[in-house]
Amino acid sequence: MSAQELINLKGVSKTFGHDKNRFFALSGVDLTVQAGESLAITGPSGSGKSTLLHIIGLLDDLTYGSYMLHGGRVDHISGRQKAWARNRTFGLVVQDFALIERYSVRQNIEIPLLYRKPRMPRKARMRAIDKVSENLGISDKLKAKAWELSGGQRQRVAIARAIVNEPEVILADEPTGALDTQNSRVIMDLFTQLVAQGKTLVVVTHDQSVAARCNRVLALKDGRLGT
Amino acid sequence: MRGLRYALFDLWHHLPSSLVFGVQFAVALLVVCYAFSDLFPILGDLDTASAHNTVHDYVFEDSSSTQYSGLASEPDHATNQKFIKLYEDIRALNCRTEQIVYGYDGIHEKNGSGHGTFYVNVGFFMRNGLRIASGRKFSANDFRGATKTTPIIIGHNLRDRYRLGKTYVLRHLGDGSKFTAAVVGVLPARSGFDKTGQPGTLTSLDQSCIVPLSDSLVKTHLVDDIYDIILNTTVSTPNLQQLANITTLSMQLSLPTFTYRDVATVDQEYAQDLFLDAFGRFCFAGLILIFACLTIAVNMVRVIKKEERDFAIHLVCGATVACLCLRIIINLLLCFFIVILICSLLFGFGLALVATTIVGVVIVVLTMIYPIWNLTRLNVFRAIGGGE
Repeated sequence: MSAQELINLKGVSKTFGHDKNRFFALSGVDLTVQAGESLAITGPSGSGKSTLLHIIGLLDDLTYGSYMLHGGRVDHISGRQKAWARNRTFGLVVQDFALIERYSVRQNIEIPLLYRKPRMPRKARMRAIDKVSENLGISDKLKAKAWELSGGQRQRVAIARAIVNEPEVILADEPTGALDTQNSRVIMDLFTQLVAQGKTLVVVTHDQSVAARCNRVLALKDGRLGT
Repeated sequence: MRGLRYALFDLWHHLPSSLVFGVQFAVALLVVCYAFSDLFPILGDLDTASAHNTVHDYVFEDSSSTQYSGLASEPDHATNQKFIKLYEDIRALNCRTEQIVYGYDGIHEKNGSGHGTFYVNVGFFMRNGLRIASGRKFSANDFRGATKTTPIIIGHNLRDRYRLGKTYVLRHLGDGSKFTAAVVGVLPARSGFDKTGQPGTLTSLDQSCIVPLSDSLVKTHLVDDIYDIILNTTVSTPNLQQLANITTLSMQLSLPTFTYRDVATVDQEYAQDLFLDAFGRFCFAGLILIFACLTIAVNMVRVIKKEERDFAIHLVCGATVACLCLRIIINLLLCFFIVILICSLLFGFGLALVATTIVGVVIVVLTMIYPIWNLTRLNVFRAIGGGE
C-alpha cells in the first residue's frame, strides 16, 4: 500500500435481487484513490456510479470484494463504526442538496458536528460554522431557513455541511446537476480550492466540464470500471 | 441533551401530529379507565349503566309474584305470624341470607335533616351490580361487626357532606341511638337497585348511607321489617337437606309455592356473572388498546415516513440508528408528558400518572417496532435524493 493511498477497493461487486433476478450493479471494481487527488467517475445512467459512491461513503454494503480505508478493512465493521467513519472521513454533497428545509442554515451545517466524538462544545461548533460559512460566502444567511435560499446558496450550504467537520474525502454525486452554468462554475471553483487545501474529492457526474476539472477521470459502464 | 433538543424541535414541528397522538391516547385511556373503573375510579361518576343491571338470583324465589302484593305493608295477623315463624326457622337452620334489608330510618344530622339508610347484607353489591366510585366495598369483617366503628358507604350526593376516610358520630332517627361511622366508600352518581324487578322501579341511592347489616343491627333495628326480610332476602342453603327442610316449612305454614335452589348453584351463577363481567371488560379494554395502538402506530408510521429524508441526512452526517431511535422515543415521551399534564388537570395527578404511564409504556413498546425496523432498512442514499 502506498503511503498516500486513502481508499482501496479490490474486486468489489454489488448485486441486487436473488437467484434468477440477481443483477450486478458493480462487477469486480478495482479502485485506488490517493489522498489529495480529485477523481471524477463518469458513465451513462444505470452504470453503477452512485452505487460505487454509496459503497465508498459507507452508505451501502458491498456483496463481494474488499474495501480498505487508510489501510484498514472497513467492509465488515459495525454500523456504529461506519457511522463514526462517515462522520469524520467523508463529507457528502448530492444533486438536490439534501438540506432539512425546516432547519436554519446554521442548524443544517451543525448536524455533522453534533455527532462528532469526542463531543464538541457549543462554542467550538459555532466557531467552526462561522468560519466555514465565511469561506463559502454564506455567513449572512446563517439564520435563514433552508427553503428561503436560492439553488446556488443551497449547494454552498450543502458543501459547508460536508466540510465543516474537516473530513478527508468529499463525495459529490452530480453536485452541479441542479445548478445553472454560472453557479456550477462557482461550485467547481470551491471544490478546486478544497482539493488545493489537501482534501480528496470523488465526483460522480455526467457533466464533462466538471469531470475535466478533476485530476483523474474514470468511466464506469455496466458496473465495470475503465479509464 | 442533543436528543432532547432535537426531540423538542421535532415536537414543535409535529405539534399537530403530536396532538392527534395525544387525543388518541387520551381517548384510549378514558375508555380503559371506564372499563376498569374499579381499579381506576377517576371516572367513577360516569359509571352508572352497570348499576341498573340488577341481578335477580334469589334462592328463595316467589314463583307467583302477585301473591305478596301489599303483604309487606299490611299483613294480617295470621300471615304475620307465619312469616315470623318462617323467618325464625330459616335463621335456625343457619342459612345464609344475602339480599338487601331495607331500613326506612335515617341518619340524623345536627341541622335536623336526615338521610335514608339502607342496611345491606353480604352480596348486596354483587347482586345489584353496584360499583364504587372511590374507596372500597364492604368486607366480611364489616358484616361481622368486628370493629367498633361502623363502616358506611355513601351516595354520590352526600360525598361533599361526608368525606371519604373521615369518621362521624351519627344518631339513628328511629331509636335515637348513636353510633360511630367511618366513610369507606362513595357510590357513583345515579346508583340504585331494583327491589321489585319491574322496569322503572329503581330505588336511587344518591342520597343514602349504606350500612353493613351485622347481627347486632338485625336485632336492634330490623324486627319491624321482618316481612321485607322474608320477601327480599335471598336464602342460601348449604345442602340439599336444608333445602328440603325449608320447603317443608313453607308447606307446613301453607305459604305460597316457592322455588328453592341450593347455594352451590347460586354461587356458581355468581361466579359466572363475575367471570363474564371481568372477561367482557378485559376484552373491551383489550380491543380499545389494540385500536389505540394501531391508530397511534399508523400515525407514527406516517410521521416516520415523512421524516425519512431527514433521518437519512442525519445518518449520512454520522448519526447511528440507535441515536435516531432514541430521538423518536424522547419525542414520544414528551408527547406523553403533555398527555399526563392534560389528564392530571382533568382527573387528578396521581391516578393520571399511574394510568398514563402503564398504558403509555405498552403503546410506546408496540409503536416503536416499526420505526426501528424502518430505520434499519432505510436506503439512505435514495432517501436523500441520490441518483441511480
